[in-house]
Amino acid sequence: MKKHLNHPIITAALLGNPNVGKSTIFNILTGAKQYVGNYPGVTVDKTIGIRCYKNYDIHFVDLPGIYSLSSCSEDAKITSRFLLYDNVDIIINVMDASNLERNFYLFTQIIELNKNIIIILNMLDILKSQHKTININKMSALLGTYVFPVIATNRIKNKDNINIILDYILDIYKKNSRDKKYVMPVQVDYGEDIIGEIGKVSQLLIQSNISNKISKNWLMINLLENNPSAIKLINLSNNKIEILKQIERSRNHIIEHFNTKIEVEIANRRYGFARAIVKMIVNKKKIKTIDYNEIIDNYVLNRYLCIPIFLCIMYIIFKFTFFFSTPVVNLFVVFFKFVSFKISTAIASSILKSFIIDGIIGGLGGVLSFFPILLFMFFAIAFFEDLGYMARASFIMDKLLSRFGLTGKSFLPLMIATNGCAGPGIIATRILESKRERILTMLIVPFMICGAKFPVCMFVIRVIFAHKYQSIVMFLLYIFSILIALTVSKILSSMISQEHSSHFIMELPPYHLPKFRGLLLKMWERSWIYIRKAWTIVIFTSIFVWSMSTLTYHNKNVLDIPKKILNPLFTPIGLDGNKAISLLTGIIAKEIVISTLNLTNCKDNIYLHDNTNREWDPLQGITFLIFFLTYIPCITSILIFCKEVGKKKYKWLIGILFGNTILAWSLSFIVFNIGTVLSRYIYIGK
Amino acid sequence: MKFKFIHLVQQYIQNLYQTFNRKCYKRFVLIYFRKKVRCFNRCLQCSNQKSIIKLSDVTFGSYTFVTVCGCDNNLENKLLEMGFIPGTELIIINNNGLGGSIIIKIMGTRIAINYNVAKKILVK
Repeated sequence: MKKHLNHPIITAALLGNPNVGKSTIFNILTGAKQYVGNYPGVTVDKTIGIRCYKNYDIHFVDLPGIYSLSSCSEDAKITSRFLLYDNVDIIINVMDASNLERNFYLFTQIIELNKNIIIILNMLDILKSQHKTININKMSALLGTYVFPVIATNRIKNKDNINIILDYILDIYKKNSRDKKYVMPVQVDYGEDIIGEIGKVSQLLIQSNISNKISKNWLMINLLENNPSAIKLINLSNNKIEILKQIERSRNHIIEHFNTKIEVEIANRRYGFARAIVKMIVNKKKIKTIDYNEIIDNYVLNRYLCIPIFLCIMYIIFKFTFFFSTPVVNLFVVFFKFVSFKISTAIASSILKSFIIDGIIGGLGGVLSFFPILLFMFFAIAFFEDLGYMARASFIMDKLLSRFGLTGKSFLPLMIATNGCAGPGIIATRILESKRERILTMLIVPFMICGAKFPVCMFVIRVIFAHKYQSIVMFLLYIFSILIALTVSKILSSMISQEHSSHFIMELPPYHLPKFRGLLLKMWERSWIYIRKAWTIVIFTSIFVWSMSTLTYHNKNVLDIPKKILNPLFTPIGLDGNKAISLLTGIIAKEIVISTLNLTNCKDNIYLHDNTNREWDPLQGITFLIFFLTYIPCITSILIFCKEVGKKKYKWLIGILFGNTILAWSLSFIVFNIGTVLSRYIYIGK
Repeated sequence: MKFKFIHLVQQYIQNLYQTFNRKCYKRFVLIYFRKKVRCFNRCLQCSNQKSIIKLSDVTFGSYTFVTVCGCDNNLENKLLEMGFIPGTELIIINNNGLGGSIIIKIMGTRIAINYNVAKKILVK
């Protein structure tokens, strides 16, 4: 990203409720490719995009969506911390035009921060379909801020709009707004009693030594609301005891007066304000429309139909991937074979030949030939995601997951791990409120079949099973991984003490018909990680393993030494030294398993994964898969895990390292021994 | 000894029977007499005297939110920011009953709520 040292920097924060299209607008404004989705947990950290405009550097900051500044989940805390302590010049409040009341509730809180505000009104197309219109001039006059109507998904019209918005941001920065009336934003009327109490607190605050950076208005109201982050600020001041006493007194006063808590009364006032403004600006034509969302939801979320439909959708995703990707994969395999054949005839020296064919093509080709499968799978998942099914799926899974000590919300991190990588899945656990659930979900996220594990499973399945069973086996493997994750969470939840009962409240987004371009973008973004990994980590390790396998020490292969050590550990579960070594290298990144298997197993020079038949007997393959799915997660996810856990990370780290290996070993031991007994009577495989 | 053992078994069976009965009652009402429950709720709507019920026991119709009881500060804040303010109208769209989640419409959006949370919300 370009950065100019001389240019003055403007910081603009994008803020709004979840699922109003902040990230989409962020992408339009900065030209970045931030991941976009219509369920909570997609944006859980602040991301900065820089845009150069007329010799100014505008830093746009995309923040996680919140309903109010006093929320308690981790991603909401990130947002409120950023707004309070960092230098934000302009707040861009993104609003969903089809649901204004709740958006105005957040707006009433932003006003109190005493910062420049712009409103971007998104989703006007949905508003039109509801036969409503908004008087935008009236709205900007009432709120005292400038309002930009926008349809974020419509790309062609946006180009002119962006320049207008950017111009306006510069104008605000230079402190010469076009119209004087847009400078002063409105204030919410809290009523005489609350304003009286605020006055009492403010007198004390003026005497104290709190920095001027933080808006006094926000501080006073949040102190009365008992907001923990506000009270933390007060603890630094010199007259904190007096202030705390005064707050206690005023809270009691309000309870006596209104017979409710002050939080409820303040929220009531804020919503009253929001309702009044909505009534003034929104014109509704009285035409009865059929709400398709409700009709679809009646079937999708039906008591009896919900789980069959869920399983059906999962199965459709698999069928789609397998049906379209197998010919492409075969093409890739043939291509790599052809290349290695050409090279083997062209190059004379045997070491160089072996290096290129075994080390590079064997390693990289094995990984890359499975790339099309990922493309098709991510495409299929992105389709259902854009449709709006993810939030519903978490709603369906809520009852099931609550039996295992989780809530429906923890389904979303699991899903993010399934259609991408375990790392983002672990980060996405920030949407969970209670600490206990977060740790539980973080521990079970690595069990899911992520994009890196998927090719390895495919590699083994293609060897063992006939073509027509492959998709079913893959489907069963997914269910197996989910079952393992759930049992682990059940065991762990009995070990971790229960703080308080978990709660699950989530907004269901309306259904959208996905756009083809968006789907392709999503697909490409997610799978691009794997190509990048293949060029860096995979190629490096495969060259390393190749050099180890060619080196000799005292007339012995160097790789024989770790094989000898690992053999007694892995013979009880039916795996030989080669597979043990490949599993060991798989800790660096899971795709490497394929490349190492190709390397260590190779006896012919031209050798790729579809003639590995004699190396694998079906039972061995199954135990290998079970071990592979449950053992230690890859290094990146372990590092992210340590970062996210915070306190006691070494305890959890040891737990994850030993616990997973013991679990994997014992499971595959059981399966292998039962399998050997059974295999006398039945034969599975090709 | 024998007598004691039989007594214990009897007690155990009685306990089982009671818990079974309690669960079954709910199930019967919700599954087999669902229509009746609907009628009952409708009657509640029609009558001037609206009684206060838990959100989890309601299967159909539109209600007004009264208050929450027995929940911690975090949950209370969360509900407030979602728009659960005394006097707000909410429409029940889908109540699976039997401990599943509940979908309601409040402030123009549909929201899914856990059964545990719904038990703490009082409506009339």
